[in-house]
Amino acid sequence: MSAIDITNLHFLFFGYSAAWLIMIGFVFLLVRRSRRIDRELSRLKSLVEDKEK
Amino acid sequence: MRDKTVYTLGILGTLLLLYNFFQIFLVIPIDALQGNIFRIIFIHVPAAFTAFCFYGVAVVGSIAFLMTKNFKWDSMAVSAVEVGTMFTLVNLATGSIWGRVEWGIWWAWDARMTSQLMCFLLYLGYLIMRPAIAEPQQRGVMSAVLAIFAAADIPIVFMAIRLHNVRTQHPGPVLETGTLAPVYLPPFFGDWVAFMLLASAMMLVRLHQESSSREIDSLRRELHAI
Repeated sequence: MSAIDITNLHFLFFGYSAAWLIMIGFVFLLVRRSRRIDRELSRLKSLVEDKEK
Repeated sequence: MRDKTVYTLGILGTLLLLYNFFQIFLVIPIDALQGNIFRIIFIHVPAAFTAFCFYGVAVVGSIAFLMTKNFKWDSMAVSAVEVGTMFTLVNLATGSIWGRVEWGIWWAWDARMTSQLMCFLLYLGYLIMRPAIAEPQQRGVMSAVLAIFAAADIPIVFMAIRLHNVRTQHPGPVLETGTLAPVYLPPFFGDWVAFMLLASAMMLVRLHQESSSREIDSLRRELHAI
């Protein structure tokens, strides 16, 4: 395998890694936001229930 | 039901993507001119196609919101824009890495790449603008207008490599000219389908978050009124 082929493979690896990292990072942000929203929703629901009592 | 759909779409998309990677790296032949880096096309182009499909969904949602003022359409638009912007970033990153190998530079300010970067920045601006507007009706209207305005860039991106009088370094269209060998088509379209499945799962999650956020807003108003 020539030096150009090896460089080519390195950049191919960087390209696929970048794509996976961006997608996994986005999913991570989605999960984190879902958790935050669910927590806030249950907190507010219990607050409204307490105030109505 | 919603969770089941999200997981089904996510698992199907991931399995298809893994199967395509097996084909891309171990089965299909290497390109004679570009070598291994050619294999980046199987992510780069399907990511752009997926992004444009979701920007299309955002335009439909935005027009429907302007006509009906129903916030479900606004949620659909913002969810689609967020997923589309993420796939545009995948497209830009992989394209830049391909350019570094083939051209020796990370970036060229030619028509295709600049218009695609503009598309990314316009929709990123949309996502940054939304939290800055507190009033939901005003936020929905301004977002819808911006989403429709930003979509005007998509035909420019599309035509940038097709017009003869536009200077571009980017390779020409490979599908309609038949320059992509038939052996490369199954993983190419397979990756597009896989990205569409994954993007749909992500959009469903975002839609649920938007509906929960609306519920949070109404609970806050209720608490304020009590």
